[in-house]
Amino acid sequence: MSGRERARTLTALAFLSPWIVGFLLFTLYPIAASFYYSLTDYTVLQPPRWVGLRNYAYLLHGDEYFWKYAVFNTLYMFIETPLGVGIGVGLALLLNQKLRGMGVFRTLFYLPTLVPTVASALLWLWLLNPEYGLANLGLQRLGLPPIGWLTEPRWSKPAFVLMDLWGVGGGMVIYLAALQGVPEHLYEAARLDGAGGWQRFRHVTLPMISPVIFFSVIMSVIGTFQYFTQTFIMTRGGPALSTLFYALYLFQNAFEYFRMGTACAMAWLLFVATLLATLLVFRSSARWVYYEE
Amino acid sequence: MKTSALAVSLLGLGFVGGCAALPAERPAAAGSRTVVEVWSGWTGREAAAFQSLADRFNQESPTVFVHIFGGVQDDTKTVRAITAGVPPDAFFLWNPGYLGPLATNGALQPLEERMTRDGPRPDEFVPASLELCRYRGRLWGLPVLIDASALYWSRSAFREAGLDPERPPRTPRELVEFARRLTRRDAHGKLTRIGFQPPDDLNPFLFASGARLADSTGAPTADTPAARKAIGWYRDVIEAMGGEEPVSAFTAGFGQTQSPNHPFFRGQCAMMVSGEWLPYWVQRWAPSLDYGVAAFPSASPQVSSGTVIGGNVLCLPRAARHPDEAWTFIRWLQRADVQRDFARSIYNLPNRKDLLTDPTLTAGSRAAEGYSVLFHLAAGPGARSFPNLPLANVLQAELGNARDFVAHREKPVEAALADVQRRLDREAAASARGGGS
Repeated sequence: MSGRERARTLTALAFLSPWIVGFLLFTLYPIAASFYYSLTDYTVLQPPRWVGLRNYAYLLHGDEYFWKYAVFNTLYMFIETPLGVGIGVGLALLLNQKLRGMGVFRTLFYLPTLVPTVASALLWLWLLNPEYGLANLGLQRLGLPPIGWLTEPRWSKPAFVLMDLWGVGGGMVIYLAALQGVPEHLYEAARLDGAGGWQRFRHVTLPMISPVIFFSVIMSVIGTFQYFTQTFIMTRGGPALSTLFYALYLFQNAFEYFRMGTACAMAWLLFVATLLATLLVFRSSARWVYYEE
Repeated sequence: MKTSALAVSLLGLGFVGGCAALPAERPAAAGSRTVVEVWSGWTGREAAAFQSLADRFNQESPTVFVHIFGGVQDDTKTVRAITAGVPPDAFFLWNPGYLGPLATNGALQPLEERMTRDGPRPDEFVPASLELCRYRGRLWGLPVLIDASALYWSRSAFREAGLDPERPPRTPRELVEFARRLTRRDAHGKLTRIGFQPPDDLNPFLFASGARLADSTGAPTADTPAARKAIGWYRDVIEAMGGEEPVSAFTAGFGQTQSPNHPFFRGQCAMMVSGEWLPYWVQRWAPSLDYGVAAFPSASPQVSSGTVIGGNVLCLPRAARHPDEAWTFIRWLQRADVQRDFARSIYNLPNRKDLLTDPTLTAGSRAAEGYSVLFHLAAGPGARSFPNLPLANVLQAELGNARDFVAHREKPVEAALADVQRRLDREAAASARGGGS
């Protein structure tokens, strides 16, 4: 490297240094530290004590709650992801029609994603209020009995799914962009071959937007594994332990029960689970994701 | 070019370093006095009352200046500050459940030696108020006003239901029966009033049943005959009003409590457990409400009719920068005139016994008379607080889960409490051996 090149490199590094320092201190160091703490008995208030893999062994073999939360969260992912993607694509198809005033509808469906998570959780607490909530008012108008959305264990999971689907607009906008990028000549060719509406969707639209669906599925898998704010504000795992989101138990271990070592181990197990789930989606993508040559 | 790049990087590094080294802002009014940082959880009117108390201290003290940082209702913030090595000089615990874990991990200073040297004496306190601060025999904080609970009942609802308006329920069976008779529904069977508003936690039922929640070694005990009796009693009250689902749906629609929309003021519940502040809230928002206040019924003659004590526990962290100056303020807050004024402004109970008969607190208005009932309950033999244990938060959470399972008819009482005990035993064992830290 010539002196001039070295000088340029150093200048670039100097400009990058605020980010590099920030990344090292606030991202890389906490990640590395959390791995170290996961191998210790750490109450936060006392220095950590090395215990090797005992936290992992306790979680996997000794803590019945760990598996309850893990299984619940995985099931929730399997319900939420297909529903979110399906409804998002459906809405995008509807909003892709060339009709007057479509911009207004697109805005309306996208708006909920702009509401901060905490605000939307508080809003949904009222919408799902069994006495005065709009959800039950709607049911009443239809002649249906009211539902204890967040007060009855059997309804609390559907309540969370319903609330999450309200924010489907974020994915919808991406699908919409993808739909508008599907070349018109492919539809023309399909029509000439006698393809009907469903066949055009199945064999033209879906393959063409599949890379975007693939991206959404991965984001949804990661997002549902990290689901926390809504349950922290709305149910705290209740009623009767019916909303057992994994991150909530992780938080409780860390900050309420003073088991930071266990919480760090949970975080690393969550990372491994998320990684495996993402890899599975990647592996499966060869069968259903189509990339244009 | 090079100079500007260097400037940018130095700026970045300076920012990062500065965040760590930034000193706390020093109030100008402190002058040359030592500034003591105190964190409290109060907000709004209560925070203003505490601030005016600190202002008074600052006027009186020639050497110490107290700076209050309010609104810390999330104790994990304090825990994080302690962990980071920058705790305040003194702090209030919003949830006393954190006292045990903090004390057991050496984060707090015990206060007996300072009390022996400077006062106040333990016998000056309402006994139950010191129990709030005691862990494994030592005092890890001092109370600054306490809360007590009692049963409130609407006399008009009693009359309407054909009950004697002067006679509250005195036994578990009566509480269940009264709750049933006081519950009202509209023509469609929808609840319009519940006889008894279920409290936020099981504590009134547990303590009235004589449940101790910890054995002599300090190990948490949930699965006991008294605790079974308590949860069974809770379940019976809920069932008497139609079951958990309609009751929780109805109570989910209750309005703000510090407002005219309080369910007790609006007649949405005929009986409830509440604290010493309620008579003053009635005076402010529902002055025409005809109500009575008495001890929560006891489950057996062997258990004194009592009250659940809670309160504001002020702790001195081990790493406090100015522990002696902070102690000066903590001690000052125990002065009778200070306690009286603070109690009068936020409607909590003093923790000093000598104020029990203070007429300025306990007489002169209907609200003061109601408040006086709670003050005497707090000083009585039936006053109990949730035990300070290393696993207090786990125990509290698990008891809440057991209540949910029983109320939703998902588990019988025995199974629910056996599950709680199993979990507590496992957690205690894991803590002891250091795995599942």
